[in-house]
Amino acid sequence: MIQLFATDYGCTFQSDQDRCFYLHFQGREMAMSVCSLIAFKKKVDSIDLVKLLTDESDYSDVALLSTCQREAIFLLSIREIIDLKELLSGTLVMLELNSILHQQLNCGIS
Amino acid sequence: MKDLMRQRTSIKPEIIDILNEQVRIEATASAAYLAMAAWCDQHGWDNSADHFYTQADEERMHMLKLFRYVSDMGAAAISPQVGEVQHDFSTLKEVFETALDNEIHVTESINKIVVACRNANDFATESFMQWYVQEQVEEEYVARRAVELFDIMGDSGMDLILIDERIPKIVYQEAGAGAEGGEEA
Repeated sequence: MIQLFATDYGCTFQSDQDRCFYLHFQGREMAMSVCSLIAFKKKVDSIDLVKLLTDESDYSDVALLSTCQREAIFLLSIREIIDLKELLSGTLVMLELNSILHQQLNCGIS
Repeated sequence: MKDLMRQRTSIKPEIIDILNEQVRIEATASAAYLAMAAWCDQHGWDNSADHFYTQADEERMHMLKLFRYVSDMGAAAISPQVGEVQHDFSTLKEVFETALDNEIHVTESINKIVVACRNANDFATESFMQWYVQEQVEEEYVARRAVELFDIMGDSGMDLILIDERIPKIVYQEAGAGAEGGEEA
């Protein structure tokens, strides 16, 4: 397995053998396809941090989030949400970079 | 390290997002035309109502075409949530003016997708979107011609009846496809 990106709270890996990604977060490991990873990132990105920070209700500092196939549900604190946002966007950047490298090596497009 | 992202989907996340947004815009346009059709029906403008029912079908077809493309490319197509659309209008002219505004909004949105595709070197999606670019020429033409009828003929009682009769006759013909583009006699 190749590590793609790591933050304080979690990290992501790619497995060429299983043809999927692994997300390590809150002590759990979840396998995700590309599609699931992108969909999960979209969910995380859609969490409105400003709204969470300014909301004065008792449930304001946490968010409940499920993965694409509802294999796992996360209860995330604000710090964890920020960390997860960073982890997933960092992972996507690494994947984009890998795509560019493949394109350059295979096609020699300059 | 394999390029898994490329293996599973040939479009980039940012392009998936804007295509899904366009799916929502087309669905909203379809719903908006249905509301216009209902208003026209309610006020006795049969031909205009038929026109908007047809437009609503077309917009839904545009939405499905995009939806299938996103799905076929290995990405997650999102079934759109359609928000509130305008149901009430003061005049028949306002209905057609709103339709024209909608079409301009759709065209601008499609142009943005083409620009994004170019920036992302996504030639397949850009090529796919060319159909929409061309389709919008027709859509805008029909909407604009309808609004122009009000300028030419006025908007009193009898004028409106004549306009309603002429609405089905507005057809766009591409240059070089036989007769010149324009309203049929």
